[in-house]
Amino acid sequence: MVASAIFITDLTGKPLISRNYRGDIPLTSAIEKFASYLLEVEDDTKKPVFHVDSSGEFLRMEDVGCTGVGGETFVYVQHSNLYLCGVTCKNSNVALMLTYLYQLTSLFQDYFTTLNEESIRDNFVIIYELLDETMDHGLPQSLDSTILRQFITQEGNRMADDSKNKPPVALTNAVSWRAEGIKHKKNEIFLDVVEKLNLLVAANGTVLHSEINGAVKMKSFLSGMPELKLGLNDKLVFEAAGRNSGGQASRSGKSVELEDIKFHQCVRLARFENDRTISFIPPDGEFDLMTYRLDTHVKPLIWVEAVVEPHRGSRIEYMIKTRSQFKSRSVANNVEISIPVPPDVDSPSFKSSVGTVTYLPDKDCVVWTIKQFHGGREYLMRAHFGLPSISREEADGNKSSGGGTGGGGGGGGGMDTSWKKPIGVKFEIPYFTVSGIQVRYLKIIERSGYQALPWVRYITANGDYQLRMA
Amino acid sequence: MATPHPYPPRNMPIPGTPGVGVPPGSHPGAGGPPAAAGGPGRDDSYFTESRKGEVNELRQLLRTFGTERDKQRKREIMKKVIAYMTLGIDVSRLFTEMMLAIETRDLVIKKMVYLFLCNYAETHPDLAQMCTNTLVKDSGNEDPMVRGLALRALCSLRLPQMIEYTSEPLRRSLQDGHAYVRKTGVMGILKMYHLNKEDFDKASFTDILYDMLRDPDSSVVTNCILVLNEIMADSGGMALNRAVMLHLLNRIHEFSEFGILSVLDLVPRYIPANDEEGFQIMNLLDPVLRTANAAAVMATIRAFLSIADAIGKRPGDNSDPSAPTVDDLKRQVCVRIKAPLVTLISSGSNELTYVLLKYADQLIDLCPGIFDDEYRQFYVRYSEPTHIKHSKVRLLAKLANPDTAPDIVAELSELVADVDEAMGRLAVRSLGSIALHDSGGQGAVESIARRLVEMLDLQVPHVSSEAATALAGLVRRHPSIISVVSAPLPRALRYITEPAGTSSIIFLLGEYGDSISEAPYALERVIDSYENITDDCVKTALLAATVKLFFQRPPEMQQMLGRLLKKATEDSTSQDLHDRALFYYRLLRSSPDPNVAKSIIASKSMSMTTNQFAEEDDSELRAALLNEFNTLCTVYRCKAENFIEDENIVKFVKMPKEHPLSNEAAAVPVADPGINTITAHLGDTTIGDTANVTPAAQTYGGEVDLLGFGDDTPIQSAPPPSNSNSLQSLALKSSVTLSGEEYQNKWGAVSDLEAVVISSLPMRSRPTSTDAVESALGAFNVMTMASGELETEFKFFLYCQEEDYFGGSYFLIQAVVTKAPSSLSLTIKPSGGNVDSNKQKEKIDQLVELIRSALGEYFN
Repeated sequence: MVASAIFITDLTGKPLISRNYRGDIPLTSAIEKFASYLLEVEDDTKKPVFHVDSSGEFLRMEDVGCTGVGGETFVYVQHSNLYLCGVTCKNSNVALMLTYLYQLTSLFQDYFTTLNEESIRDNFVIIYELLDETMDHGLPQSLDSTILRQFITQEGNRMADDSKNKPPVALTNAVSWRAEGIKHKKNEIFLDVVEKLNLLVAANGTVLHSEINGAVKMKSFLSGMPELKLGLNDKLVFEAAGRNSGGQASRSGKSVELEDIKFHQCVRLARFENDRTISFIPPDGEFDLMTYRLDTHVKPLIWVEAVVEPHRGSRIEYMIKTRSQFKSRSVANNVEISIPVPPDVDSPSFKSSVGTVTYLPDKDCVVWTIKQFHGGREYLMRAHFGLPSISREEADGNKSSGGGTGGGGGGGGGMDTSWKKPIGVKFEIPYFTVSGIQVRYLKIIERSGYQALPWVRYITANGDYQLRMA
Repeated sequence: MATPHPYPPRNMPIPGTPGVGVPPGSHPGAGGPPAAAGGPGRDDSYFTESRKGEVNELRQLLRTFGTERDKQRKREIMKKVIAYMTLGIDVSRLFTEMMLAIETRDLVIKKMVYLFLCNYAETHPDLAQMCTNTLVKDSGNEDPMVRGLALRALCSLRLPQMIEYTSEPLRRSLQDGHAYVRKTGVMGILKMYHLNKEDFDKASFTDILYDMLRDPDSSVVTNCILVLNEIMADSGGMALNRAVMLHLLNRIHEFSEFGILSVLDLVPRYIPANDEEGFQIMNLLDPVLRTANAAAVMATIRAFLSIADAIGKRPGDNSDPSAPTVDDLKRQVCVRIKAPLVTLISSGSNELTYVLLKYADQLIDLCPGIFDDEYRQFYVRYSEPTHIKHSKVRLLAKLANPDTAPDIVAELSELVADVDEAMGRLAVRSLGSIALHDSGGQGAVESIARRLVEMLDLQVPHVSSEAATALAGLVRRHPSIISVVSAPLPRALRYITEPAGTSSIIFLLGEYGDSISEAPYALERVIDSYENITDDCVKTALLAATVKLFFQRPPEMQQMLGRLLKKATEDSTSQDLHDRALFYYRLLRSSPDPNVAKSIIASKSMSMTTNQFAEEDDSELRAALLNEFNTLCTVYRCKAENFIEDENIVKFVKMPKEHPLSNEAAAVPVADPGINTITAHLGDTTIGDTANVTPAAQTYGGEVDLLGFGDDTPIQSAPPPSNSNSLQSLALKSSVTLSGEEYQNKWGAVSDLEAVVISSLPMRSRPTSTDAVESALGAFNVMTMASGELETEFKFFLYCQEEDYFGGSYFLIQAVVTKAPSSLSLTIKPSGGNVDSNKQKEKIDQLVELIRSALGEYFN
């Protein structure tokens, strides 16, 4: 990959900071082009990768190459109120540019806790240093925050009399993610197994798609160079063990088949390929040890049914039924069910057996909050709204009918689906994983032989959890 | 010749964002420059004036810099200058003052001055030149951090006249003890290359870079590869051969997650020596698919595909009937990479998902059917950005097979009614394409046709129109479904408003009018309102349809055909239409036998036999794009030479084929015995020697890891200790120390008769100092006891120990390098360890070879 320059702008495209690595593109005008892209191109047609030809035209994807060679490609990501953008005039590796930009954001976050316009302006000196250290001449170098932190710091570092700001060997050795000589008073390690349930339910109630995106997150506060070994109830391991020791696997309870596992770079991948052992030397602090995906048919943990009775020109009524479909000893916390409503409703009134209901006019939805939702329960909520005698659709329709037929799909009869967004559900179920994954052991071995305490937590939360409305 | 810089300097004239960015409390005067926020007023003289004031104020502050004692205050002053620079205020007038501050022991201040310098050097070349000395001096600082930073600053000045100052520190940096400096130096070479290619060629850094591929530090190696790729862009990137490739692959687990990419990107250009090696490389790279780094995963996929391409059997090659073909292998690769790719798509951020969907699209074209069972992943989510939704809808059509089609069709039908018009259109087109490709299994075509017919009546202009167009294509492919379609056509013609849809309906009426009783009357209505038709396409379609229908149902059509021909020939809006109408008219009038005209006009040539419209056949483009997989080309579906300027293109060139395997070592610029020794020393099984490794299983899914990749416990398939490949059996211990006394004792203990003397190996150039030789040898674990320079020769007392579990033998070496003519003489005495004299001889031979390669730069 080659990036000619990297710059950060606010949401209007006004540059905050930039670094021109190669000097082979006119950076100032490139930033201006980026700003005008943000301004001129409609949101719907904006793409995270776009090409500007040599005459300065923004090209549609299919038109690239039709107007001759030259120009630049912009690759950008958004983070809070910022855009981070890379520019290139070569045939660069896009995935790499995006990965770099993502990692740069997490690096900045690591440094400044929050990354936004303010923190950029407050820390521009460090940002210049980081931009220089993470990329040289447009080619990515090291992006590991734990390592960079050791020598890029604004704390008192005087040259040569302080060994602290030497570029650490770790920058260049094999265990590049951990420095030597880390000391903690209390050796502890926290392990969070977080599973997010993605769900898509069709209007007729069939589950179109369900999958689990899991992550094993770690917070490591261990001294020295500890060797860790993580044991999970991985089906393949159990099967292997079962073969070897004559069906002992059945004794150890159920196991889980993890479909696609991705590891932090500290995990010895070959070892895993060999015997499914997850062994590693952890970085210090917080990191995602592994993520996995399970594409299985999961019963929707929280089921929602909506019956809507619109009475044109007078009122609209909702009957929402929700049911928790997990074991009764588990509890879902902070359940939020958001039901979309037409944009022009008024005078809301609600009745619910549990929880609180609020109408959010700016989001055109009703949010039903249930603080604690025990397993195996069912609740009901009724909502009632007034509708204006002439709906907004009709009013718009009348207005735009003079303007011909270009008005889009919403105008026709029976097509006023613009508010038919899906129902969204948010929840968190502690001490529970949908997949049934369990940590069986976490062995910590360090040369000095200290005792370290592993803490394990499980949590299941909603991912992209959508139920389409009938 | 100096390369002129066509672009404005790197400072950024940014519309003022006053006040912000300046550290709190650092501004004694008013709260920043007056508000000139982005308005046109920023050129107003008042503001410039005021800024001048600000800058002058800064200059005052900087003048006190030398006397200021407080480190924090000093930093604040610097920070303010940099803040102004960031805001785009031109602070280049402070150049002189800033340069005075470069002599500091505070690293933070130093970095800021460097930054300032790099930003303004191009506009103030003379002033910048003044500080070269300091930079050169800093590049020799005792602190590696400072050395690296100074070097980077020095190379980033982009002043062609500076090259004479930079090349010396650069050369020095490449031998630096600290990897940070070396890797910065390597990158500096690239900067120099871009600055002045002629001087660069003179400095002959390229060979050094190739040598440095053996650097013990992976980040240095990474940069070497990147730099070489760019310098050699004209010939497709770094020169590649088997030895280099295998050396890098064997070390791949040492690389950082970004460094690994540099190696992975070389693999597509490599041609494996044989099938086995290809499989071994895939096995070796397989774990990379488990990293969370999307870029690395994609690069691995590309590498896999290229290996499959290289080792798979071509059609027509019947040498080995059991060998898998290219297509088989590619299919297997796609099966392997499916899960990781899908995970990345489903869990990545939007931007990445968008790009990966494009990649998936290309892979699906490559191996249709592979992703079919993951079709649920490509369902559209309400919350996704439009461009992702669109990509998914396009992909869904390609995932249809008899099993998945019902679900996919149902899903697409839902999306037809989406608020987003473009999405609705795409959904209809996707439905049409499933039917057209007949990928939905039995009955799917008809059921889709029925759905499309329903959509005709949906009264949503864009949906009806798209449905009409889709139906027109469908009927051409599957003429039998006209019975399903025919009934609503006349009705649809009345309310479809978009020209494309209208002409599709008219086309269908003309083509299949014999089975649609109302067809003539439907057309008549259109003909009668001919004046209201604005679109030429509709008119042309109408003309063609009417003439065709005339031959099928002459009595009903004759009248209206006459009317239409009259109107069309009098229509002056379209030349094409006018000519065509005349042509029909004359043909009909002049031909004595109506059947002649009929055979010309109403021939049934419209049915399709393939699943694709001719304009959709882009197999050639797809093949070309596959070579550049994982680049912008894939995203744009456009070849690089069509949108990238010539000078920026890196051609895709495979390495020269240099098989059979024998005598390649001679052709290798980086001598490979050393390479093998290094890797052997690392305790790894190498893939260099195919004789030692059991044939790889053809399932390269990763169940069997024959290579013991990156593992600390060598578990299986360690190569049998054989001397089948003599180059591999000598490995040297990395940390050996001998005291002078021990050395003398050992030397004395071995009689001179046992010593092996190799005299006067001719050398091309002579080393400049003993240090150079020592460090070169040290990299290969040959240690120096003592050395010295005499008038005519260099003398070295060297030693090394063989890596052996039971304590390998020592080798004591006396080396003499004569200065003129340059030659190397060696006296080697083995001491202890293995007594088998045959083996000992062999090992000494290898040792000589190793020393030669370590000192390769003097021999080649």
